[in-house]
Amino acid sequence: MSTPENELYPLALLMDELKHEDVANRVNAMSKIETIARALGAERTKTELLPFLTDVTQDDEDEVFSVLAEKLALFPKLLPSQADIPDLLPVCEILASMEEPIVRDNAIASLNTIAESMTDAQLTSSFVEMLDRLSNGDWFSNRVAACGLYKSVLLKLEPTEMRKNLLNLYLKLVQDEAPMVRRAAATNLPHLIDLLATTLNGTAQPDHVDWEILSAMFTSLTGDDQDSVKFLSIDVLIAILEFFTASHDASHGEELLGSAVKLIEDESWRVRYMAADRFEKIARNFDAAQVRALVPHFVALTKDNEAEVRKAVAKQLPGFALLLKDQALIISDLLPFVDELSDDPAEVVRSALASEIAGLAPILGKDATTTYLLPIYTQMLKDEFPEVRLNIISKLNIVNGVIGSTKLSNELLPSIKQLADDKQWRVRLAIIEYIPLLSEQLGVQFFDKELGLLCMSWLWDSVYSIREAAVNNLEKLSEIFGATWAKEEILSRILHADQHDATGADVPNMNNFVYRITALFALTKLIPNLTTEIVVEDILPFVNKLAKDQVPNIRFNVAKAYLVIAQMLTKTGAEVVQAQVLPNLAVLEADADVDVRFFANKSINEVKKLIAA
Amino acid sequence: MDFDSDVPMEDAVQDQLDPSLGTATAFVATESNASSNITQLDEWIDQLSKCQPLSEENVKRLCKMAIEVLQFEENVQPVAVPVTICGDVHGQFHDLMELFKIGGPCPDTNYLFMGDYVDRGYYSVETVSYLVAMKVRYPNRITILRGNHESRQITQVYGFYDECLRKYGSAVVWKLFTDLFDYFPITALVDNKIFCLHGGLSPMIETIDQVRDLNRVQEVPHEGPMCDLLWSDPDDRGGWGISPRGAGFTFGQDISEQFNHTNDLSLIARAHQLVMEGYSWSHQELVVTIFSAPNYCYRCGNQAAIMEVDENHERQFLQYDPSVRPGEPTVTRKTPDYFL
Amino acid sequence: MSEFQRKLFKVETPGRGAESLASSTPDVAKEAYFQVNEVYEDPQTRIRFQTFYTPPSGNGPLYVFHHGAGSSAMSFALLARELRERWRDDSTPIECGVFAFDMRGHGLTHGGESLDYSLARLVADFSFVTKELFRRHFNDTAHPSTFLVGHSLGGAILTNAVSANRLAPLKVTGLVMLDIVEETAIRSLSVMPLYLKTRPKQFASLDMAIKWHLRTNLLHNFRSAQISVPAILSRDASEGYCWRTRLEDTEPYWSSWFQGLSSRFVAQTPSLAKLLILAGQDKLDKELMIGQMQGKYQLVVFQDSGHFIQEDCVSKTAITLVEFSKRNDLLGFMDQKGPVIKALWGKVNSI
Repeated sequence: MSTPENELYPLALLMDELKHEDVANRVNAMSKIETIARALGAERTKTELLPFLTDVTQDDEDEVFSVLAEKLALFPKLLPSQADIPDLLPVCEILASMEEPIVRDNAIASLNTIAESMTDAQLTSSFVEMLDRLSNGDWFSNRVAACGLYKSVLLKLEPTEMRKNLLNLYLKLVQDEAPMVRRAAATNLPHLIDLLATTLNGTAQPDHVDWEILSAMFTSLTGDDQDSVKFLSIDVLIAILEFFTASHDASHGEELLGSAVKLIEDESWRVRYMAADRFEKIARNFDAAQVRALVPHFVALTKDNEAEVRKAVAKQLPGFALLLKDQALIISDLLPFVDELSDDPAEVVRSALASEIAGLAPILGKDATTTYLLPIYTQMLKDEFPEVRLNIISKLNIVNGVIGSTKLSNELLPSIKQLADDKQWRVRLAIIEYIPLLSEQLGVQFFDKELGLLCMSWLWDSVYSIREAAVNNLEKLSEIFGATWAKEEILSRILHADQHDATGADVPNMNNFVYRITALFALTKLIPNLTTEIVVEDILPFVNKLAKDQVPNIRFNVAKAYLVIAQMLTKTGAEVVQAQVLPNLAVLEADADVDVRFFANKSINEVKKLIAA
Repeated sequence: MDFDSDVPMEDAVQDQLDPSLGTATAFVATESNASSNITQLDEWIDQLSKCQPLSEENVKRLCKMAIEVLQFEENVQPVAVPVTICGDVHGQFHDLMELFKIGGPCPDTNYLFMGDYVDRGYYSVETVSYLVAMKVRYPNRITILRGNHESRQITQVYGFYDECLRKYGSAVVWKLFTDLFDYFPITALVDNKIFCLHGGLSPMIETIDQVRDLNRVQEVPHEGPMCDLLWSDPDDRGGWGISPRGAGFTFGQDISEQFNHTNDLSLIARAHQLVMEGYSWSHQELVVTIFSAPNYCYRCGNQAAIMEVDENHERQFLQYDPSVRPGEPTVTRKTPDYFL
Repeated sequence: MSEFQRKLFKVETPGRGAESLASSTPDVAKEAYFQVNEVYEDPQTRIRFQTFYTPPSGNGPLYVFHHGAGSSAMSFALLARELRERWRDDSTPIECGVFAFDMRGHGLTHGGESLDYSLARLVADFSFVTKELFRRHFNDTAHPSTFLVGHSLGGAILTNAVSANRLAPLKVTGLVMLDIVEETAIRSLSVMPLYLKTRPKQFASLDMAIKWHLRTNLLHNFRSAQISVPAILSRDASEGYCWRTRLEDTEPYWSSWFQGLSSRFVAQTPSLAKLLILAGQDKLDKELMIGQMQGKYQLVVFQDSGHFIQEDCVSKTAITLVEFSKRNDLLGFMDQKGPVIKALWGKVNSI
């Protein structure tokens, strides 16, 4: 099959394909439209292909339209001259007016791309005319399409009057009778405000007339009788706030605070949810006194009837607390409600709080964290919902940095031990990953006493990822506590696992393949942290024995382990490599199993390279 | 989307006779290209493990290599212990990666998948590409059986066809894979004791040798023994019954007892049915159902499971939940214009 | 997968674009589709149900249809005829029966003022109609194997009627729902008021009405629209045509119609064969998805169909129904006593 670049369909063939009975063929043909246009050349693209494509939009299926709508973005450079670009607008306009959202969205995106290559004059004439037509269209999908196109022309219109006309036209869309149109208008409005803010600052600031229109839009949205429209006004509010923040204009602060509060207290939960979800973004744009004034409203959201709202506001806690900057106020006015959230009846709320609450520790400092937050952590570590426990554990390092791990360990060790055999393997994993940090600060004696057996028991977990994490954990511990410790505490337990039942720990059964392979993985991982003597006397005999294991998976992992052993011994034990490693690898290279042969061969080549070097 | 009239049943048969797939030449090529193939496969596996689909050209090469491996497997493919046995995956690629996190990566762990890799989930292409690439790279470490969804007709209704069209712009990749599915073995026998297959038993099949006599390289038929093996379900009622599914049969405990006795089996392991705990015994532990797609189709709320069988035939079930990942596709569906 | 699907693939798919209105003459005489037109009057509610019936012959099964809200018995006209033909084609001595009726306030069944459209009431209506059908045409010894086929709301009514055991002495062998999924139905109800508000109130002619149904893709099959559309319209004072059924009046009852339908359908006893035919794509909700993946019922998807499956895909629906009833031949209308599955077991030992 040739590559698409080489397939130059004549137009007739394409037309045939575009009329094929199977929609897949038509989609396929349409996706090659750029190649076709290039093959036809710019002139025929303009005179033949474009009219043909316009015909296509009269009768086909959405799949085909969707591809066409997307591909039209490529057309400005396929036409003979700059003057021809406006010819693309009619076909795009038809597609943008369609009811299928994918087609419409693709057409809108293409129109905005096409607008980038149009001259200001072309925009002011053809594009604005189309925009006018769509905005006043009879069918709601025309007007929905219009909403997505204003951004391409809003700043291109030189006479201020035209900009105002455009904004007034947009205001009509914001107040349209169809909720779909109002939604589209509200969705696109923040971007338009951003545009006005970025480009017009300095000489051509939006004047009061602009603001009157924008303010009418905002007022209309905040009063909309449909939740699904009204809740979009939160993003509009944020865009307005950010505009004033950027232009250092605080004169509307109180008025906007009033609007914000009204939305936060809205009777529709979707609006409150949106406000809760973006609380920090809203608050960030107010001054210190106004931020303080928002505290009761924040608190009200933590007590909202809807769990989704409480969940959203829980996530805003650290961000909002940081804006408050007032430790005493946080402790007196916020923490009591944090405590309540930690006991929320909805698990999603507790889970959201658990993922963010660690962020409060750096803001509160060591003492307040110990006094107020630690009890909440301890309680949440016992939460019945695993995600809550997991979220707390995975952020413990932040708390660690604030209050030090000794303090944290003493307080939390009982909970941590309890979580070590949590039903959820990801909770166990999070605990294991936290162990090296903990052990470094606890010291070897405390570790051996409190956590040593625990770390060994994870090696025999039924979940592979826990066994893998346990192996990595042992490697890190041996790095911290040294080779002698590793031999005594780890090696002896693994190598003589069968006799270790006296400790009461889970007794691994070496007749089981999973245990043997895990022991092999663990020992191989430890090798770099051990001495030559330990490797030769303790590890090598064990590996040699496994080289004759009945399970091929063990044998090819032995082949891999031999390479690690050889890497360790090239300097200090080259004769062992020659006497044991290479001969055993040679046996494996002649194994009955293809994978054993493959990995043995690979290791032999590597070992030979090591010796040569 | 309509049924694709371009792919009548005859296609499968023709492909089978395609001389370019002749065994002798293919084998010579495999031997001489072995190491470059391995490098190539390792690259593909690496790419696929990030959930990035292969190019159409590479899928074509992969499927050709896979036919060279799979056509020599038996209708009842022998499998050694230890092995981890898995059920339906259905395009839930991230949950397949979760499965390997639970059971251990292949090739360190040996796997036996009992079919239904495609349809319904959003990543059928990546899922089946990954498993096939693993099969070609490590033929002794992984066994992939055929499920009732590994079929031309079913994939046109339940998503794989549309997904191929969406991801590749044409049905070429769909055609390549569905042609490959014809070569998948239909059953496996673990250490002569555990009979593994996607669906269940057939009134036409009393002994495992009768499975060996089937001509499996064809589209899944609408009836007959091969259809039944991929479609049947165990049932609380005894004897044979009409399957409510519209294909295959239901079979009772008496049937399982007789089959296991006749063939000296300890267990029939099969998939095909969603079970809320991920696995479920029936017929007094003569039959086990294993289902490995957690929260099936992103909405069923079920756990998934795999079954580890060690070299002493000790069995352990590992249950798991959906993989945790941000931006899980939410099921948004278009509201119809009219409904009363 | 079975015989019927193979047949499906041989059926030519309809070409794109609707047929021209002028291309054929409508045969709207109801007698062409059903032999008997009777009125069943319910003594309790005084509602006079218009029924349409062709009896089965031999041991043939009976298909009982229930249309959805806003539709009428004539929605099944083409399907009924095609089913009869397919059984006749089959070179067996038996023929199937077909029965359809206009539900209260629909088609020619006049309802009077402020009708009760609660699910319980509609189930009771259906229960009355089937009892009356049995009383008039059958007895305990001569008694066909019955397959219930409900479209949309009709499917919900049938499922509830079966669940509530309201159909004795009818012997129900199979239950078929056409394009109904609880979750989708309930979600869609929110857009229905807007839809009803914006659809035309009146048509200047029947032709215009048929054209409108085709243009808006509500119906895809011109031939069927010629029969089903006139049945749901009546002449009004201004010589135009308006809707027979005021769907707006049924709105208070919508929320009850589909609640719990999926689990009720899946939970039917395994001895009742169940089939769900969906239009477009496989858009099952959680209950139906679990049920399907546990093999509790048969699912068939017609990707090229609109909501009115029985009208858009007449042949495919008929083939599927025939295959479904033969496969689940529990009452033995094919001259057998109960399902006989021939196992080849035992041969090996004897050789």
